[in-house]
Amino acid sequence: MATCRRTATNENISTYGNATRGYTSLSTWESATDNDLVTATQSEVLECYDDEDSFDDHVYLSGATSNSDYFRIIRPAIDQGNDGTPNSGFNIANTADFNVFSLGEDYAQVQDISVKSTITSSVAHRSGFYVSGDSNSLIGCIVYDSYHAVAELNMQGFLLNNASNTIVVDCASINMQSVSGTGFGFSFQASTSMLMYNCISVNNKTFGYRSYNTTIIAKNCCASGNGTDWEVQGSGGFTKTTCTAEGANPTYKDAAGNDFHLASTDTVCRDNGTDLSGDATFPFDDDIDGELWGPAWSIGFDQFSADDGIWTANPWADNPWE
Amino acid sequence: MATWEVAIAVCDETEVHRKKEGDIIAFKPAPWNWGRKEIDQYLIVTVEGITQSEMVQLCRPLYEGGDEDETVIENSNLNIIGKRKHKLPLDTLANGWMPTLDLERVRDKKVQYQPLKESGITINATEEVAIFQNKFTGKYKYKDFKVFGDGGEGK
Repeated sequence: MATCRRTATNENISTYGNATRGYTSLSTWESATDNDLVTATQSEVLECYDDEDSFDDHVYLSGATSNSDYFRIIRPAIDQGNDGTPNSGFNIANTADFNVFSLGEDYAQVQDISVKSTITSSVAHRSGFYVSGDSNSLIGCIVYDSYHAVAELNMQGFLLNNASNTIVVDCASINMQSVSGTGFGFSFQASTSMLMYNCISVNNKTFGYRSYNTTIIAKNCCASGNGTDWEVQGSGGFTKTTCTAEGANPTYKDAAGNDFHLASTDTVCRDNGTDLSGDATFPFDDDIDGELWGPAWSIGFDQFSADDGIWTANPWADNPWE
Repeated sequence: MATWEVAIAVCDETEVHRKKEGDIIAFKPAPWNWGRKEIDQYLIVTVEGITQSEMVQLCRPLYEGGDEDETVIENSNLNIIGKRKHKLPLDTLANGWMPTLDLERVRDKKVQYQPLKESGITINATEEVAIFQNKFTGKYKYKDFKVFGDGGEGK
């Protein structure tokens, strides 16, 4: 079986956190590892430590020469990631006028990081994750309670723009808003071969999922409480497999407390998904908490269990993709 | 206005789109405790009299097309042709702020050498001092960050 938290070949691991780590800025690591990874036959990984309540930071990955074997990953160190709820584990709370994570190169990955962004001065729309390179992966990431305070500009959890062959798995966008009354959970535009598996988009002001001139393969994805859950603009749209319908109302563990694990009483999502462990493009078998899906898969990012919110697996151990 | 510590690249990478000496790589509120590798790899400079929004501008990449508005850049997906659009030239630092700055030691990543931070030198960006150079136009920014000049002159 395969965890969705893929590893790279020949990883050179650096650390991020407080001053006891190698780096305290995502950008200094990015600049230091902006290399020809293919020629060097070296992948660069930044493992993040939950040394502070949150980190006010952002990064633009661009320029590294990469391929499907040698690329860059940002992920929490073991046991430092989110537990499937916002503001848990290693957590970014950005206040600068940037997209928090911009992936402008190819094959990069961000895994299991919670992000909140508050923009007070800007000339552009802003996102938790902005992807403009190809073949990138976002796994187990949460964007939550983010706000754009500049009129006529928008806050978006995930914006994938000219980002073909991108894979988004076990991710969540929760409560994107702006002073103008807009907020998108996941927005896809001008891209091809986009995969979105087992994601959840909740309480975003305008759209849960938005397609703009792009076709997205969506499997086991959940939307609820958004202005419009599924929005198609221009050509393309969503090719859905066992996703929730417009206006669905799943029962969550503690929605008021921003905990969108499934409640034991839920009948909308629980056990109603499709088994993707044998998916032809991206087979995997673990949820936002690192728990194994099954025997019946659910819709959304969570396989219900009594241990929800507790990291139960070490996804990097015995990784068949390594 | 606030005071920041900025991490400056100390040497050129060969490829044109990668970092170059003087590039303003990152900023943090002062005082800041940098990580072990950051102290080795970058020159730390304290700057006051500049807002967070202005620091953000200094850390943006250099896009094909140069001074395009950022919204245009995102919509047209322009290529990045330089790691940073602005730099803080090391010789300007030496000429204007710290004549004893040993540029050879600054450029040597094997030597831990942070003379400006350790000497408590703070660059005041509101003075008429040319420190931040736009690599696309070649011009320098100084005085309230809004005036452009042709100078490369030091303090």
